[in-house]
Amino acid sequence: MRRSIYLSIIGVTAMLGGIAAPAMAADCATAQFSDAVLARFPNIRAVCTEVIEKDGQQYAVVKGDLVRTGTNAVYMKFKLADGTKSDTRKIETRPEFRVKVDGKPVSVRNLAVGQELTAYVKVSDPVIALEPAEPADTLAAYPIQDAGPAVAANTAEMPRTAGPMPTVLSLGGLLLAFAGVLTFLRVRRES
Amino acid sequence: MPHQYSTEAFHGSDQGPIHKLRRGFHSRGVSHGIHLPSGGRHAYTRVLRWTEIGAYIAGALLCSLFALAQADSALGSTNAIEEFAASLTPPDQSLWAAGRVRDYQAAQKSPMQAVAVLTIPSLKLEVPVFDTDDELSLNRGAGLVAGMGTPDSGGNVGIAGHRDGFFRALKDIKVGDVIEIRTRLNLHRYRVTTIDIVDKDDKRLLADTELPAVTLVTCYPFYFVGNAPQRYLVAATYVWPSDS
Repeated sequence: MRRSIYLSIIGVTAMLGGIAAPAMAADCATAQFSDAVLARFPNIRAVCTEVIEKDGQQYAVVKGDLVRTGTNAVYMKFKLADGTKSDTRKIETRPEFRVKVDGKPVSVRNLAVGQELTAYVKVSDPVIALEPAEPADTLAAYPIQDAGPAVAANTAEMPRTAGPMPTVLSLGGLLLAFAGVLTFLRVRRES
Repeated sequence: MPHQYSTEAFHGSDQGPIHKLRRGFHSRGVSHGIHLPSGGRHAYTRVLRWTEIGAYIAGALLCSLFALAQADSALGSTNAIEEFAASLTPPDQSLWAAGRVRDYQAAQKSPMQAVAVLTIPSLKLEVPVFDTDDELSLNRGAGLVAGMGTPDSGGNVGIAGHRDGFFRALKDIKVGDVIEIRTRLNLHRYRVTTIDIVDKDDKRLLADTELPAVTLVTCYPFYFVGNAPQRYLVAATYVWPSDS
């Protein structure tokens, strides 16, 4: 009798543990990020909003603002829990890859600065992927790049913002005034 | 007619009959500068008359050219804004082939098609933004400065405009004013942080920035005939939708 009670308690505990296990997995604080991930993304816990499972792997979900777009990459700043933003991070992708923006699918080539994007960081490996437009779509994960500002070299020249039209008008006005003076002198002489 | 001067022309003159007939020029210019014979006076009057007519024609042409440019500026700007507004509802390209999408996007970038519309509510300024800052574009609106960012791709976006045209209104802009740039992909908002007057060759403020920003460029002083020696730069930083 006592033995069956013990077995029942063990069974119930195991069952509850089984239910609770996935809930434990979906926690940014307790997720077992690999050393490689923590080395590449030290503040991953601060920017992580939740942990999900996809294709049998755990991913930390991170959200942020798009600050720059490139041919095969986007640059994002992730939101920290205290409301500030992380350093800029480059995420490689493909121009035709479709992500979800405001609930609508948008290809990467049509993304614009200021849009909010979601990315997944694999808990076990230092790779990051943009959230696909459809949940069934395959993730396209790329190695996590070092954080840092992305600034292009200054090749711009100061534009010429002085049009010729004021000069044209001034010259035209002067010529008309000169002609008017000649007319005045001629009429006075003839009269 | 030739018989009228045929005898006089060869008497003591090596300058021919025509010179004799146009004696007024000779008398006025060489021998008798003070006295103007009636023939010389007539020629002088004729020159003045032609000068007068020429000045009227040239003056009217130049003023007409200015008026045409103004009309082109007003009509071109209005048309560009209307065309841009019509293009804000692009077709669904999700099922298109990549090549077809590229062709469509190339067609959208025709030289006189506005790529954005810049609005400064505090100045009641609305101006189309073209892909380049050439003379025709700046006559009809503002233009993106080559070598700088674009509103959708980020970085420091340079937008140039004529100080005697659309960007004259910038003389009244203030720090804190909002600048809006509507592209086909998004509405971008910026807040003015600095207003600078720099030498026309000083391009330091055109340098790229890590975060999205916009720099409006026009000539300075605002009222100046010819090539102005300075540039008036309005810098604004991005207002994140998620922060507001």
